[in-house]
Amino acid sequence: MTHTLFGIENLSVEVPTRRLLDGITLQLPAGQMVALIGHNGSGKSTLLKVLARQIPALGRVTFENRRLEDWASRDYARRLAFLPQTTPPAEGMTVRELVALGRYPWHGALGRFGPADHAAVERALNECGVADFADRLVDTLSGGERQRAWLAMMIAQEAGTLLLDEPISALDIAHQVEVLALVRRMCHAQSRSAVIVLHEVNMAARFCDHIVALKGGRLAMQGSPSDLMRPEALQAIYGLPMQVLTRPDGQPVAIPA
Amino acid sequence: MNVALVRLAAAALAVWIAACVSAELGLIAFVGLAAPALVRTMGARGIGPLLALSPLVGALILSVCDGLVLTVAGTTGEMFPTGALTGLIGGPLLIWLLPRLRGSTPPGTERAEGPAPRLARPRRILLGLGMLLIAAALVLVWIGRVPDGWAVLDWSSFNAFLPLRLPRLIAAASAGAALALAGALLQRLTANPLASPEVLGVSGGASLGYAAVTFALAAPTAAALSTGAMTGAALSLALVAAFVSHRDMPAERVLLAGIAVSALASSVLLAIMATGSPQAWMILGWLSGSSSAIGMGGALPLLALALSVWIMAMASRRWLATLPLGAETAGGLGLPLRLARLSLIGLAGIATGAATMLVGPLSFVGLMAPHLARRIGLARATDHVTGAALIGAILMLAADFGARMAGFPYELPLGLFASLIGAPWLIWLMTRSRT
Repeated sequence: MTHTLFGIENLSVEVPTRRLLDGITLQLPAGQMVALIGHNGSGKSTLLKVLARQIPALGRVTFENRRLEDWASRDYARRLAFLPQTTPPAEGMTVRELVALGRYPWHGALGRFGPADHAAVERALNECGVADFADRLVDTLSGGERQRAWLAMMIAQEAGTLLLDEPISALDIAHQVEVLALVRRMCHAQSRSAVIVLHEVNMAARFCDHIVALKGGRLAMQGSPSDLMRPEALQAIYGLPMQVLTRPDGQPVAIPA
Repeated sequence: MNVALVRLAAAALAVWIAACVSAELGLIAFVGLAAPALVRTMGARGIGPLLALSPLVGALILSVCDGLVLTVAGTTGEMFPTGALTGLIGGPLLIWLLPRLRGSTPPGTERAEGPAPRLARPRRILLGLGMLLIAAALVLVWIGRVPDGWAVLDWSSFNAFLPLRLPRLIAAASAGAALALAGALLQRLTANPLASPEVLGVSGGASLGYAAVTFALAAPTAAALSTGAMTGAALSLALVAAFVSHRDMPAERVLLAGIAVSALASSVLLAIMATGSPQAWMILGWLSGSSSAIGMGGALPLLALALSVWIMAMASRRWLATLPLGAETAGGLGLPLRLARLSLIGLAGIATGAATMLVGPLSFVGLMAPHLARRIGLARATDHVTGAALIGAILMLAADFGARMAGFPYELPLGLFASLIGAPWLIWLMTRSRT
């Protein structure tokens, strides 16, 4: 069995009117691509934000066996990169400049932007296929290109763990496959870990190694894609009768029954 | 639904109501902002209850204020304007309410314009702006108005005039640069192109401090007045900083706190003006801003301050580049968010406070200069901030020149003249739609 990336014990998040996460206890494995799925409002984005240290939470969460609050911000950012659900407009910024921002955890506010930084930016641009428009303005790119530019910023951060909040929700089907394949390649070829919030259950089953499903702020199930792709499991998660078909190549596909 | 028509109708209705009130009663500060905010925190949701309850709460606030004014008038014989008093109550009320308010700006409303251009070679423009600044300074020393027209000074009178004119030129340019730097920092920090140092509340605090000194001392010296203004600026800065250190306080909300402080300050000043005392005249003179009294001893520190703020801004260039992308991205990259916000707001506050001593609390340079810099295509954080500072200095030089020449031989107040340039610009900026 692989070792633990995140150890989550009795995690709760509350806002004045309700509980977004309610006593979650969970281990996320390292070196794998983990999907967080669930219905709208199930708390999957909230969980991801807690892991990215974007919002405070009750309970105990460890990353690489150290408690979240014990990490210094830049050390944490060197180990873990986070892509928010909606990427803000990057006013007047070129793709290369945006990607170069990913080097902040390494050089800090005043450090020199050295050869290692330049090399990391070039690698990230090539890896995400945005090298051709490196000098164009981010705001003039199409949705798919922009998403890959932001992904390249994360890659330039050279963190071992990537957290992505619905990275494919604004993309067409070809770009969805492209982005998820890219993340999967980076996980398996470069032994990184990734935690991805996904809406599309078939995409999650096809690309991810491990599935965590939330429902109403609680853990609904976790396991392999084949554990997920059963009508009972899907109905329990989404509250909707689901049917699982098998494609000619043996891949299961879930559709609403 | 015809969105534009509905918006126009709603705005027209609101303006009509406001105009009726102003025509009948004069300017009533703040009830319009405080009443709906108060109703919302009391739990009213939806437009129906809000519309039903806000007028009641507004009526209550104004009646209480009016009652207070009458009581004070009965005991002291001094009649304060009710409108000023509502601000006095409404300002602190809003400050108290702010952390409790939720709600957000609908997405897209802050982006009134299309993408600004981006220059391929910003260095050239910056260099050009620097030369323009130097040229403007030289020309403005050299030419002047004499009773029967314009004159270019000859060498001997140039030498005679230089010690008189140089300090105020330096002071005006430094004040403009400092305000522009503050504006550029705030606009990048909040990712809001309409953020400006005037709404940070620092100038308002400075005017309050100044006013306090005029009342506390019988014959206040210039040093005492400056100290008073500095203290006021520092206090309001501390208040705003306290807001920033709330972890979840978004930067836009900080500006609202600043607006509340400004409104509070202006209502106090209004009340003082209404008394017509000698202090009121003194404050009025300072408020409109003048560089005529400044000597080298005042100009050089201001120059040093503007330069050091610029150097600090250059040192925090990576923060300034990342912060417009929002707190999530900046935090994800390991930026020390609270430290960055606190130090940038502090820097902007110090720059504003110092410049306010010279040009008075309202000038628009802090809004205009960064915006202009961005529109001419200075996109990167360092270029943007530097360009804004240069443009601010040039604008202020122009305002100073105009203030000296327009009403010759009398001098118009510098701050007043800067607003005269700035206000139409602001209106033009806001009316330009995204089409």
